[in-house]
Amino acid sequence: MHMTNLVAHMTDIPLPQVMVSLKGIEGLSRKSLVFLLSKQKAISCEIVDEHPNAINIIDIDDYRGKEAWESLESAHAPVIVLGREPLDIDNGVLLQKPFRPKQLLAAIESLAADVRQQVTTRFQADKQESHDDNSTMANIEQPVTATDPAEKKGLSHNAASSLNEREVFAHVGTSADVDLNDPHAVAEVQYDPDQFLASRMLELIELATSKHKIIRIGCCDVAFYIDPHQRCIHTLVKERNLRTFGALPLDNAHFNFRKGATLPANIKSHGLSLGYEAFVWRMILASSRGRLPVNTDLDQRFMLRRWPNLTRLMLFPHATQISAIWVSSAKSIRELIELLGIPQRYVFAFFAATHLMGYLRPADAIDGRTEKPASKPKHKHRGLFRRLLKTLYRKQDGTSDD
Amino acid sequence: MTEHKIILTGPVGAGKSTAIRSLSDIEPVSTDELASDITKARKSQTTVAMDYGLLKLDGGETIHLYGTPGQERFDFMWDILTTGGIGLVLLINNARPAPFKDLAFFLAAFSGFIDKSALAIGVTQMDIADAPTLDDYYAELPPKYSNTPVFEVDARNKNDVVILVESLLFSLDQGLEA
Repeated sequence: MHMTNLVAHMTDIPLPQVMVSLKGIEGLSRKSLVFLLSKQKAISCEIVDEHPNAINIIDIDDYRGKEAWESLESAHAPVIVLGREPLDIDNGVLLQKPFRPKQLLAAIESLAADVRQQVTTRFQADKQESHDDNSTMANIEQPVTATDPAEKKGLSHNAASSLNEREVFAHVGTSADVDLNDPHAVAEVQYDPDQFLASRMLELIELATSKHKIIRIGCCDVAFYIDPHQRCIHTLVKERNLRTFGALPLDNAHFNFRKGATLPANIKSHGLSLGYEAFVWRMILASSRGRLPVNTDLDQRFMLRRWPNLTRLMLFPHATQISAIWVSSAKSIRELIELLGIPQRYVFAFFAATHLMGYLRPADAIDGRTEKPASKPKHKHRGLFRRLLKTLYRKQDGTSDD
Repeated sequence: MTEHKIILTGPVGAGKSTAIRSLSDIEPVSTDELASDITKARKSQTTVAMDYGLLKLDGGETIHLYGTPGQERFDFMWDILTTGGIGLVLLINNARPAPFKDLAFFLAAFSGFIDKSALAIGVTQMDIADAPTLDDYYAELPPKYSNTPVFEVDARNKNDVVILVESLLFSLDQGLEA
């Protein structure tokens, strides 16, 4: 399990197993699942009846399944739903039957990472509290710091009204900050984008554009159509369920594409159509979950060639401020994190999305850009601007009087 | 007491009045009149003096929102309007015949003000006319404006207008939150 070393490194506590609770799964199905999970070496699962940190697997087609799912959904518990029909899921993953064991394990791994980060964050908060109370620990070296958003009422944190709290959790993750000077710790917050749908999608968008032909992608029994004429992706998958396809590693046995496809009538009339940018951005965030693409150089300086079209993208906390800095000055990831003092995961997520989409490039590859001074002086109206931002965010959140 | 204001400008039908309506904490004061001359074919009413809205901040401060008239014959007012302004929001209607001509015109007209403040560009009506694209706009911008935020905007959408103004503020002060 790839998060194992990270958690151990950060907390020096023994790692719990991944706890899995099976709901509405009885008889032979239950025995098969228990057997499958017990035989995994890469992931150590413990079957439990109830536990706050358990990942719940529900067979929604079982007569007890729907009730179990509704109860877990209202509790925002991490859940994997197994079902024949598509379903809107906010806080988990849907695996449509028939699915392969590999997909189930990938889903467990994906949710386990989130659960463990939550546990780690809580543990670190407790540890920090203890640290504050204990002056003998004052010399412990801290990693490059970032403030927890819950503690720092950051202004641009509120900007993401287009993403609610649960969506931020799902797309940017909950990864705690790591020591950027520790290669092992950094390696644990990296992922391989090539294993996810977003990277394949980017390649196929390029192909569709160059050939001027619609490409049909088949992925886990679901179809996506890349339409170079309208520069968008069409699908029958509901918007809320897209994350599932972005978050799970691709299974090559369940992935195929075909050039020169035609758009089915039902997609034209009832499908979801999202612009390239909006779709891929969302898929990258789902796969990154606040992690960096593998082999990213933390000291390489980058610049945005232009602002991402933030009004049409899934906007997450701090994205506007990060854009403003990276569009006007060459900064490495390490420099940016030190400058902003925000949780690393927001910078990592922004980096993953903008770098893979080609917005962010090595600074020496950007020609003819007017770089403003690296440390722009504090504006004389900063106080006013802060208050103005606060007012604007309130409007975004829909809490204004109007 | 200093009057703080944000100026919204752009050609006829770009959505200035609508954007102010989306943001304002008061019922916007609009001086729309029946259009004459060339605007008549595009919309029945147009702003002949200015639009005015207000943002009320915590602590009782206010930010005034001024929308410039879209008709070029009122450009004598622009210098007066921009005095003391925080920054400029330029809205460009992508469905007009020559949006780049509009862009060049307004950048030239407000260059002095932009140099002293900041600029954010919102391109409206992209659902009706998808070309030029945002990349085309960036290619068209003079080098000194290459860091300018350019977003697709629906002026009726409060979030779009908020993000545009937010980008304007972070362009002015990137350390706003630090």
